[in-house]
Amino acid sequence: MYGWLLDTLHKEYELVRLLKESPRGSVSQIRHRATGRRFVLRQFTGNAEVYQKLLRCSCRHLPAVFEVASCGEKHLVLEEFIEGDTLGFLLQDALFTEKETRDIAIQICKALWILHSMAAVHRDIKPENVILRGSDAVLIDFDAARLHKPEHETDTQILGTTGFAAPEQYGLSQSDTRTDIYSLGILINVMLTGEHPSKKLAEGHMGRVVERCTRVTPRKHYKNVLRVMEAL
Amino acid sequence: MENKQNLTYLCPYCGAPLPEEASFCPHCARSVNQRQEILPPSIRWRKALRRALMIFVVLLLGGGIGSAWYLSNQPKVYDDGGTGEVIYTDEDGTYQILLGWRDTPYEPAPVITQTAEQDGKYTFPVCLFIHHKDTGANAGGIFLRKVASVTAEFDTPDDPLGYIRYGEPAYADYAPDAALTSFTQFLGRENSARGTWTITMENGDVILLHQTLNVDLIETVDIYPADAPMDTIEDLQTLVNSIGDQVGNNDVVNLHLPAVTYEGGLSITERSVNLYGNTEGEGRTAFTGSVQVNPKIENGVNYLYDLDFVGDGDGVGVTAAQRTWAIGCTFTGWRTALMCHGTGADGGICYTDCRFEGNEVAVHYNTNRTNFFNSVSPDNQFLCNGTGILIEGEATEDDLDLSGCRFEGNGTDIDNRSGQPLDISQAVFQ
Repeated sequence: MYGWLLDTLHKEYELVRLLKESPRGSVSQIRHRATGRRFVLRQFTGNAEVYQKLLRCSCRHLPAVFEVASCGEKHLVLEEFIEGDTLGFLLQDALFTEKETRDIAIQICKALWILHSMAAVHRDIKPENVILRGSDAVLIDFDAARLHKPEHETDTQILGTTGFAAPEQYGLSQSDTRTDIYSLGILINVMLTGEHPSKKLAEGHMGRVVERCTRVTPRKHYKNVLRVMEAL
Repeated sequence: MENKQNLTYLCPYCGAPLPEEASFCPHCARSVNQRQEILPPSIRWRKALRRALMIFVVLLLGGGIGSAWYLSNQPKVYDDGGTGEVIYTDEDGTYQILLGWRDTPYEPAPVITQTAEQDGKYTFPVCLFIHHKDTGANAGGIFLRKVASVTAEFDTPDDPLGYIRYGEPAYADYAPDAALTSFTQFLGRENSARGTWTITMENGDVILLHQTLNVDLIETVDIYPADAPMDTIEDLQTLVNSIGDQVGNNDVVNLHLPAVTYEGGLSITERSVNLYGNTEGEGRTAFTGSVQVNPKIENGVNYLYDLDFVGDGDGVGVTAAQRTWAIGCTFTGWRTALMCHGTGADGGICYTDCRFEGNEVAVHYNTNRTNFFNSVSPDNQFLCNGTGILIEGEATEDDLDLSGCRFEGNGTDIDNRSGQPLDISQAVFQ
């Protein structure tokens, strides 16, 4: 299917712009000539299992994965193009209120829950990777392949046996998901104060949530994103 | 591009042929697969469940929780049970706390055995390590802020006349990764004592770490000419080679040599021995060949007492790859009289009360062993040598102590090519 899809995309789609390029592959925005619909096309080598899983699910807070075609280690992923502004862009002009922040953070938690339940970790949560589409926050750019090293046997096993269970259940260590919780805490603080919590911690309840998200001591840290959602 | 894809499926929207496994029709740009909406478990439901559970627990246990809370907030004693290690958890995290050696900070050393000579005075360091249990990262600094006091004490030793005591635990540059280090002192006796470190926390918790120090006396084995044949260099070489079979590795072996001239050289390559030249009556013990000190089993200093090393203008009198200390010896007529060489932590030469006369080079440092051992050389005489002391290789931090030395008639007294710091304030140059 890889060759067929690549061929069809060449014929019926046009490049809008190259979003990212690395030795591992590229990410570009393309447009369907007939309908004008825009998509994100990822071409990379590595592991596409998380994208395969996302193919069968839909979540308002993650871009839809429309198609995954593989040829050995080479993969094509056709993804929903999310229209909207990034939090990074919006934060240039103004901070968010506590309610807005809470709503957005809960939506990011929902997106993270899905990734975490697939043994995937986002690892790059930042204002530039959250797009506001109307009132929906969408977490983009989950470079899932980064965390699944195909040469690593246990990772392969994890991916082969996972459903939509809690990550701890199939061995994705808490420390991995904690990375995302930590960055989420930072993001919440930046949305409220414009600063890293070490410089200026948000006040009140949200400040306490940030503090607990970013605490290094494992015992006091939120165990998973569901706990963060509850706290929010 | 030629396309051999088997297109057996038709797009339900535009009718275009698609591969069977397609999830998306690129022709009409629409999804053609079934998707399941994934939602996290409801927060409200989880919250309600947890609250109900909480109420249930409160009802069930009632005052039990109160008393449990009361008990859990009472100061606790954490005893290592003789393992030298305690895992301690407080509200900030879990810590591994142990007593051990500098180079193995994760291995507790609950039992230490030291070898010692009778009535020798010894000091060695014991380190207290504190790590974050999960990461192994050093947590000494953070942890000590929560500590009210640390004391370390030995019980009365089995032999009360031989002391065993901890020095005050404190930070020491010797072991920067250790939270605290105690320089522990003991006297050379067959002895044993149990030590206890008591760490009292600000919150009242007490952590007890134990350590047993056993002191084994080093046996000293003296061998005289009457005990074993040692009149010729061959006999002596045989004795030096085989003595290891008869003594323990930690034992000290003293060979008391007769007043003979050994024609030829000796190689000390099996285990350390001390050579004592004859001091009874008039005759002395002499070697006309090189003595090489490089024992495989190295357990301290190789002492050379009252020996004459007599060269014929060529060769090296004594070459030392391991710690060697010449005392009361004479070195005459060598290309190089006394040389230390080699690399690594141990090794080096000391020489005191020696006379170096008529050698091309009397003492040659050719080593990177920068320990203090290479800095001890008081009360020697350097007479009519081409060069008195030639220093190559790496300098030691300590001044080379030449107090009481006399330099006379040498071509060059000291050829200091390494920039070795010298203490010549008490030396005489004539």
